[in-house]
Amino acid sequence: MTYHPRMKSDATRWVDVERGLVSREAFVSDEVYQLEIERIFNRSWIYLGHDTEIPNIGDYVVRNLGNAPVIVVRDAPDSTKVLLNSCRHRGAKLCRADAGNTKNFVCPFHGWAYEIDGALRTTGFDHHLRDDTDFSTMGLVSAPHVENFYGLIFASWDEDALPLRDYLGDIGWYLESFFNRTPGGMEVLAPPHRWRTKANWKIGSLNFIGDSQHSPTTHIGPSTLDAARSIRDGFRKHGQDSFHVVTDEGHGCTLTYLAPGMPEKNYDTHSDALKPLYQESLSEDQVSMLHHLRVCVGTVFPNMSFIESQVGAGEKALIIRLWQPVSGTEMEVLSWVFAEKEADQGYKDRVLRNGFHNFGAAGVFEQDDMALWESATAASNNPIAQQYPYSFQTALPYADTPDENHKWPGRAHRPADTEIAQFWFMQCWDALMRANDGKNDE
Amino acid sequence: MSESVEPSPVNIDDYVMIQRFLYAEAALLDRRAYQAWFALMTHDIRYRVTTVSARPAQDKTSRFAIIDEDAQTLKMRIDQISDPNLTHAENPPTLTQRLVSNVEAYYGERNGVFEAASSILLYASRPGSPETGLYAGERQDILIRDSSGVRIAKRTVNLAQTVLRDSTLSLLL
Repeated sequence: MTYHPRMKSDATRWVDVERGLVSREAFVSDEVYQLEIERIFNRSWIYLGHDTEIPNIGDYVVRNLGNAPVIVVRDAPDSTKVLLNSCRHRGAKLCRADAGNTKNFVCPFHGWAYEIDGALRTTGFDHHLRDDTDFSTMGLVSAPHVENFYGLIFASWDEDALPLRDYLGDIGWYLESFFNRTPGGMEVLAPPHRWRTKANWKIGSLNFIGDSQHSPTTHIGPSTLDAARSIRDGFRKHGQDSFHVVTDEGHGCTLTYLAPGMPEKNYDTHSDALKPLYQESLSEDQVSMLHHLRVCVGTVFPNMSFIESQVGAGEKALIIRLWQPVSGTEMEVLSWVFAEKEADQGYKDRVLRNGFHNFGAAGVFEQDDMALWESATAASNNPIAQQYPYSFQTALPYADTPDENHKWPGRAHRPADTEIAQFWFMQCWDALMRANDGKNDE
Repeated sequence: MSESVEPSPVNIDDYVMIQRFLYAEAALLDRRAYQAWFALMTHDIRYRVTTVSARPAQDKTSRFAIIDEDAQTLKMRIDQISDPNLTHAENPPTLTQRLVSNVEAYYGERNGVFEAASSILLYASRPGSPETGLYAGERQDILIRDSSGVRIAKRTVNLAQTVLRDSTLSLLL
């Protein structure tokens, strides 16, 4: 089919697979955003939060599932409910804070009261209701699927959603390696940093799935000033081994190792105290994946990303990032820092500080990313610019040559300074955007 | 501000001295004289900026840091935004105006140590953008005066925000 630079009908494809191009409209249009909510966010599994944010019965956090406000509540020791944060009576929010603990949800508007699992207890005016009123149909709207992957809480609005493990596919092996590497699991160290950025949410997902090309230019500041300079000098001298991993579902990550043969002192990896615990919890392959890993940055389709990085002076920090779309040209970003539950408090404090020094609401990496993402979004949001698609052309020479020696799950591609993972993400996005629109034109 | 004993407000001379210091220090940031500003920090500076998570009014306030620096990491942050070749967020630079007010000052635990609270309003206009950012917060400082002048030993800026509305924060308050 021919490439249409502008979206005129649902059947238009935004991604030109042969030429390595993606319509700019995909990165600015509110119409595309509305379709994304319907076709991607209301059908996919979406990351909402972590077990350790809501440890006790009645603990809740308020998040978004797609663009619908939801309450993520611990309703029983091993159960989480995801409830639409809107009273079934006249729509007011049950919870107007970001987080809290409650015995029940009482609507402040007219007083409808719900159990913490969302069941309607009373309207307050039950004596005025007809006798055949069926309370069982009047509970808070509940996401039909909520699943937990080693503490990571995901939910989906899609009745027919695949089981979460099938949806995660091969990225699950990597997520498990980061989030289930000790018997106690990981712990959120502080409430999420949150900021609004006038940039399309997909720039975040693409940046984390594998945008190695942006690092030398966007992040020239921190990489020049990095206090772990000796380590950087080490890998500059000895080289590094970096590659993309992508999965059939559109997930992916980029793993960067210091090249073999570097002096051991240059490997500043995970805490020695915690490493024996990794061997208890993970397979031998997973332990070897973590061994000497300098940076892993990845995206779980569509809008959850994660990074474990070893930059700056401090400890290696593991971060989850949510790119919450607000419109075609704006997102809200949420960012959490994690450490192993078993770690001592001093270690956790250092991980937290180092984590958000680099990546967070005032992160020294993040501030330069956001300035440039906003500029890309602003400059693309006009009809002239939209005649000229974005280039992902460095993906093309490598698309059909996965690394056949890759021994871990997923499809690996080298070298890592190509756009192979990003373009794969866009192809998976495009396939979903065009699915079930009734007029596929292939 | 001190927890155990009733803090003792400074006399008028010390109050004016502290006020002048806070104005001059804010002016250095507005002029982007970051290295001169950094020279006003003690070698064991702890510089923190916090935001808050919205909790029900009956709950305890839940503040958490978005910046938490010691001298070394604060210097890295400053070196980045003060070198035009090392920053995109601050090149071209954000135009800023800091308003400092509501200064309260008390004598600290020993001679030459002061505890100062102030309000800060940071107006930030990003070049090329029609929008402006506003950051309002209360600051708690520990100031030390010795023969070389006044320096900041500790600063905490509690921003009145749950979500940063104007993207990430690349400025200091």
